[in-house]
Amino acid sequence: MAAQNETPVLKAVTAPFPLPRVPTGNPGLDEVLFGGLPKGRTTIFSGGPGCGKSIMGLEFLVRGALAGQPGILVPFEERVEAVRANALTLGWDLAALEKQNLIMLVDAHIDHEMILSGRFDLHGLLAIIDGAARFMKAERLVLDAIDVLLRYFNDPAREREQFFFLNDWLLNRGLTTVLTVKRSDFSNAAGRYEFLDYLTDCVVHLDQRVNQQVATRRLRVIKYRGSNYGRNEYPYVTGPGGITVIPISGAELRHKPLGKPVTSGQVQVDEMLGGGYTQNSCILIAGPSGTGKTTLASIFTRAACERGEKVLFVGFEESAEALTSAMLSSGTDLRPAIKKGSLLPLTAMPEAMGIEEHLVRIAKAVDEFAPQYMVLDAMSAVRRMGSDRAAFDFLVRLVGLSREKGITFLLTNQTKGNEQMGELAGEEASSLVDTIISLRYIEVGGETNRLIGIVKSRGMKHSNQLREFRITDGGVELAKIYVGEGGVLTGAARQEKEAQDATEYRRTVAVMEAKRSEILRRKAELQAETARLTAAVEQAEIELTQIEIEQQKSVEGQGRRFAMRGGDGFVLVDTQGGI
Amino acid sequence: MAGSTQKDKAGSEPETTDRVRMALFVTGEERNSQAARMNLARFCENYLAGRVDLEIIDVLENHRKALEWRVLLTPVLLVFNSERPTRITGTLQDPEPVLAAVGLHGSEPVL
Repeated sequence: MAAQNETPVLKAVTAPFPLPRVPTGNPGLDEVLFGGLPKGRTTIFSGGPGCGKSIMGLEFLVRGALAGQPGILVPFEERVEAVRANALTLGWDLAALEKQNLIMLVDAHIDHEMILSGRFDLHGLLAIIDGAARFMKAERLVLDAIDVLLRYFNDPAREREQFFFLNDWLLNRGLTTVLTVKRSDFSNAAGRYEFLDYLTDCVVHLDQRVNQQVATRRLRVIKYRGSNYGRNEYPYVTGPGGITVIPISGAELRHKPLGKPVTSGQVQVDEMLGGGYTQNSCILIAGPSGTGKTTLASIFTRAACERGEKVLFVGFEESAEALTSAMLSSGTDLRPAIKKGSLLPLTAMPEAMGIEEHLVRIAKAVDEFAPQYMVLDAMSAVRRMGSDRAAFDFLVRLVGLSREKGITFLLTNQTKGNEQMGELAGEEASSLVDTIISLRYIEVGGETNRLIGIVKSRGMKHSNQLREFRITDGGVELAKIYVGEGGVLTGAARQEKEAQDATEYRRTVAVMEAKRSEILRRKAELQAETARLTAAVEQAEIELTQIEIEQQKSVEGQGRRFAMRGGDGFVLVDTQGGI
Repeated sequence: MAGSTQKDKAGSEPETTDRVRMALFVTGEERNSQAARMNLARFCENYLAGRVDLEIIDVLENHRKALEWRVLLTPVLLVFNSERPTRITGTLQDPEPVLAAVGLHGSEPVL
């Protein structure tokens, strides 16, 4: 930067110079932070009790230590033995790292019995940090629960002054520091340590809410001075290995393009689709209960497994057995595929955990099993993970994950009626998927039949015809059908006039039949309704008679009592029941 | 904690052979630390008359001691009067907590 004589000292505009970052080592978090925490600066992890901010702070140190960057942890609230024990439950052996001088735990729990007399300051802490940092050449520092320390100054002005002093010292010292601060948005005390956000360079807020009995955890970067970052709320979970953050917006950038056609497992369906499903695409099979969604999903699964490819089947049954037996009942035996190792069933009840846990579980299975295909049956059950919003998030993230990994993703959705096939968990989700197959019932000529149609199939010349769809032993078959609810459904149309005429005729016949059966049904309904109303009138009459009898009895009783008392003075009721 | 207003001279006469052990942690010549040093020196002169073993530790020079005794806030006085020392944080402008810690609460300065 040494300015030459001819170079002006002040340049009006320079290319933005990104702040150097220190990777936290946690892939999801680093993605959200666009690379890591600001190097040599102070970052705040804030959140309510139990949200995992201490774990996230500790993970920053552990991952740093494992990468050869020593760090210091100063827990103000917990004793060091407790910190070590808690770390072990997450799979981190701090004692081993301490031996190698890669982590230092400073015993800093505050003695609640200490007596305060006059003014004091944080120099002791700074001396300890400075000495330890020099000794182990530490680059990372975590002060866990800084609010607990500051509270000892017991005066907002002093707290502010001491924090300012601490932060200044840390900046000069060049340590990449994480401060955790207890704070929840729901408490009125939130404002007390709000000033910390203004004085630090990066603020990550962890939020834990409970929605319809299911806890959801979200992480959000509130600020990152001089730098860009992921601005969404990201779901996360804590568990062995620390925090798992699921970044979504970043993932979208790496989507793989659509690939070659792949069979649906049924030749006729392939024909309708214009060759089959598309690899790396997302396919939605929607329809009311019993229309054959799971059957279509399982024949697709079976075909893939028979080719020796791998399928992850996500189901919301109690167990893998329940899932395979459900498919067995529709004639598809997936047990050999499981035995062979080409099919991995992943089942869990939707209510068993929050969407984050479900997502992490699936993401883990995707990582370990590395499937080419993923099936989710059924999307509609996801709603039970909490709310419609949660279900939609879940879908968005799974679609993102499958696109990123180049996985062909087939999901089923149970709709209530014949409409809203693209509606998933209350959100219009059809734009997220590439192919939509609609299954529905149709009542014609006194029978209920299934229909299959392709609503959309991105990049494929798919059929616009509706076909009859039959579930047979061991699979499905399609039959030609020309009749539907209120319209000609054949598309061959124009050049086949005769065919169309014939169809027209059949349609009229069918419509007439449909009308007849509707009239019959209505008549039956009318009769039923009449019978119900008649019964209600009769019942009311019986009740009225009952009441009249009781009334009569009561009046007679009063008359008798009156007579027995001999009819003295204060009589209000005469034998007629009047006053 | 200490009933500091209580004046009970009879009960506060300790065995004169007892020596008081104390450690004062300071931060160089920082303002609060200077004040604590002066206040403690005056206290020892006034009340303990030489019956004191006082160690003054500068955390800037001896951070290990600070670490060992969990000295985060300075100045701080540790009075080794029992298994767990009494910890008095601050400039020690008020002699009462220190008097209580050395078992002399209510005493008048020895002039």
